[in-house]
Amino acid sequence: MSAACCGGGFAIPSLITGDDKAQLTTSYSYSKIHTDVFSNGIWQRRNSTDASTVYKIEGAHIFADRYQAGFSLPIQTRNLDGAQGGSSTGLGDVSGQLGYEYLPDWNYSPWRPRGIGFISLTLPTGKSIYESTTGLDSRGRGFFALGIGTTLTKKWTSWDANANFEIHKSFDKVVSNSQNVGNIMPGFGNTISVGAGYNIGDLRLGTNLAWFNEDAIDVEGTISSKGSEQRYAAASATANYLFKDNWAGSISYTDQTVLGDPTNTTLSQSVQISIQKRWLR
Amino acid sequence: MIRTLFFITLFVFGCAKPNYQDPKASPNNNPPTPDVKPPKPPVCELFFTQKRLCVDFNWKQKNEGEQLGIIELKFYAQETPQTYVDPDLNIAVVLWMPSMGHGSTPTEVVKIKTGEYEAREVYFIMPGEWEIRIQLKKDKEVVDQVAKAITH
Repeated sequence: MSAACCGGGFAIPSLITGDDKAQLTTSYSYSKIHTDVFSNGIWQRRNSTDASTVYKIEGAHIFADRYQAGFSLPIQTRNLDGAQGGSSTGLGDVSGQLGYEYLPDWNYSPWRPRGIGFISLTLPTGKSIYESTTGLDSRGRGFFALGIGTTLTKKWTSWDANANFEIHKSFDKVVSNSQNVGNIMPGFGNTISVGAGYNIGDLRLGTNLAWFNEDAIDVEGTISSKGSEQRYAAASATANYLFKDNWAGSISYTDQTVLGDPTNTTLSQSVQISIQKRWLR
Repeated sequence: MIRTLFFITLFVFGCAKPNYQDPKASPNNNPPTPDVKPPKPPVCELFFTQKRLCVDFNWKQKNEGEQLGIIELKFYAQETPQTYVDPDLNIAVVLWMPSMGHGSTPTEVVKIKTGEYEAREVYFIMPGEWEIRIQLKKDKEVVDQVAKAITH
């Protein structure tokens, strides 16, 4: 999320939801695992450090009037405490998106939102927990994933609102390492988020709530196991400011420990700062 | 105004309900109620059905903080628990997290004496519910395996 043109609106970094031709975002985030939630619902506060910093470059460009293409390129550094701890840096999972503005806001309707549909492809460019032998160098989910979704945005005088719905399918993966030879079989996942913002001149203050679900990951091979569903939610607060020449900056805080009914997951708290450059049509 | 909005949305969608507990406190550790007969102890907890072998599992040293874990393994035939025997296959110990479908760092299995082994370098990459899988292997093929469930 970041400040939109003229002090309002909502933008996903790799998706243009305003009247811009292109945008490029660089962001830096620091997150630390606060709690582990087991599949039986028990929460356990993490008493060792597992922190990540992610430097990400994201871009999007309009083509053929209502179509757009975008990408996301993360570089992640993980720092772990413990007997096998240390630091590791490398590429995370790269993703690309194709979007189409199926619901344009040409007549400035007071109620109808602007709608953009998209398909996304995630590449397992980051080493995953299934290949890692230490956990330290695990920086991606490890699966090819194909997603489809929509973003709806609406701006009034001072207020704005947004909603995102996305569903994706992750594809099976063959692994062969010292521990297991076989297939890792993920399933579907989805994300739902809603947010709102209040605009004071070029400043936007906003909140966002998001829910994430992933099907269980089953394994068949020298080791076979049935996985458990993964679920968590996140609440975030964001401040955006639009500077001169269509530069925008934002700072946000996200907390996964305050919302929802998490299971089989880690819960983190994170801070992110980002700078975005936009080019008008 | 933003704060009001934030609290309204939290109220509408529901806050998290943390269930912080000591995961190591399992019901099996509680004393049995007086009017319930305790179940008969199993002949052996971990039994290799193919090779008809039992294995005793014991923590010599737990993986905590900077300390790697060591597990003692003692193999015996079900009929002669006092005599430890070597399985005629290779022994491997794999740390496995079934809920997420991944393993942990490799362990090293060392023979101490006949039928007695140690799995060293035991390290769990994250807290949670794990299985310690003790495998009997012929080359890379797993012939038989047993699993011990633990919470780390």
